Amino acid sequence: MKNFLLTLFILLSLSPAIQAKEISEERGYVSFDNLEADYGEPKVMINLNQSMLGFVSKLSASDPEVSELISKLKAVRVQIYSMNNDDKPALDLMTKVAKDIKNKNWMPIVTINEKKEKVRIFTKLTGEIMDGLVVMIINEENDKKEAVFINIIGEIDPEKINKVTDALQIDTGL
Amino acid sequence: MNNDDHSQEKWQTKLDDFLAQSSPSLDNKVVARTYEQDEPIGNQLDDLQTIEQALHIEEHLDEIGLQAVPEALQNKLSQITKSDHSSANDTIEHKDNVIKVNFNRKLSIVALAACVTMVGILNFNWSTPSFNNQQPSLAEINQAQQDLAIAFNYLSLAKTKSTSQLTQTINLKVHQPMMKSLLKPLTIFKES
Amino acid sequence: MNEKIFNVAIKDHQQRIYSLALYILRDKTEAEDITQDVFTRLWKTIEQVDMSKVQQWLSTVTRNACIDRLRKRKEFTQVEDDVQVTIAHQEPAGNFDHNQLSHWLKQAISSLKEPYSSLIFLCDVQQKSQDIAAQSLDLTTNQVKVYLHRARKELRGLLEEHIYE
Repeated sequence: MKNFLLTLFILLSLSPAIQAKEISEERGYVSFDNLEADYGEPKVMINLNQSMLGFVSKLSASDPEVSELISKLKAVRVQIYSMNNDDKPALDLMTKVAKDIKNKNWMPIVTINEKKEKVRIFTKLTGEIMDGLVVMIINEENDKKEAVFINIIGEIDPEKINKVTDALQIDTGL
Repeated sequence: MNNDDHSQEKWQTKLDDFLAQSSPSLDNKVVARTYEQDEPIGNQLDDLQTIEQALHIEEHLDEIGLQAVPEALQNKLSQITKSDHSSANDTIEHKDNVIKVNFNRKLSIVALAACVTMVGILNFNWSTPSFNNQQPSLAEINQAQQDLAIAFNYLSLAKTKSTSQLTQTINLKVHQPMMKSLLKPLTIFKES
Repeated sequence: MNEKIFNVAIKDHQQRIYSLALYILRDKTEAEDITQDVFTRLWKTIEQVDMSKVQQWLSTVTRNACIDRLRKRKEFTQVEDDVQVTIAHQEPAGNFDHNQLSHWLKQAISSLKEPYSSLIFLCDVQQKSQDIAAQSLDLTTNQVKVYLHRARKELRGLLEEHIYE
């Protein structure tokens, strides 16, 4: 009885840590450093877990294909910063993430290095299935200067991205 | 750390010795050439030698000797079928926090199962947005949907940018040189 | 039932597959990654795989995945400052028994039409230079390059057909 209670106590105290650790142990997970010190609060911060994505997929039930796609996602994480006039912290973070995940066998899909736009896209493949996606964009076109960091975890079909976007835009009126 | 380094050097030395004493068979060399890429990347010779060596190692693996599989990898492999089962479940449920412990006595296993179940139930309450309800509110779900739309908008944007760059690159680096090279045989043919 | 078969396959072959990946890639982390990928792939396609030849299947998939990984290493380090878009790679296929290879290769090379057959024989089997092959077959060096590329592609197609028949 004593051992049982002791085990229970240990598990309860560890459980938030275990829970928090869970998504970060997924193969498709990538950590982004916080750039608040350089750019202030992000203008967009999104953290959708599998539970919430499940509910969203049910909202898209009118399109079964889109609904199924969303239900296969485990997490969607987005950080968007307004860069003001200093793109260096964002560029440094992009380079750092690219280097780190390259060492963890993520596959680079797109590299664009233009004066006013830099894009990096990486995927994590398990066999033929993409189960992780990282998209990093530094955009300095016109007056909009923003740094975008996106990590999608779960089974992703890149062919269907536009379809999901269109469906969501119709549903949300964006 | 030292033991790890030492054992790492050991297998590398063994492999290097083997490769120094033997070279890929002619058959492997021929097969390696069939793997030539349509778009040569970097040094073609390097690529061929890499493939030849890989075929050679595969053929003589027993001779070189096998290495022990790290325990972490063994655990990951044993989880492959289990992660497949859990992803098929309803998305409202959280995955069990799997804790690996070797128990011999059945009673301990039952006690552990009871603990994990209790932890799972307690975690579920902590992790959902509304502590009082089992489900998030409609407003929360709508907000999540909008958030997802924003995320996918950027994904589509990135996809469009890459497609446009790809088209430009193909034009610049493939289509134009190809047109130039296609003209050449005609010239040679004309001369002969 | 599939799970049992799969677990037996892991038990019987994990050491071999891990060792193969380790020797080709010379990197423990990457070797572990490839091993996990390969067995995950086996699990996902277990109904289509002939389990009596699973060792061969695993070895080939591992070898091809490692070659791909090595190519990706080289591609990534060659990124230049201007625009570079990586086109999705094609998986190399091919799965063969080394013991039967010699015999099969001879037949396959002979079955190619000319000048493909002669080109493979001269350049790949006899390891002659393309210039010498061009002279022998009364072709230009450019023609040798183009035809040789096509010949190797065709031979590889035959290799794949042979394995999956």
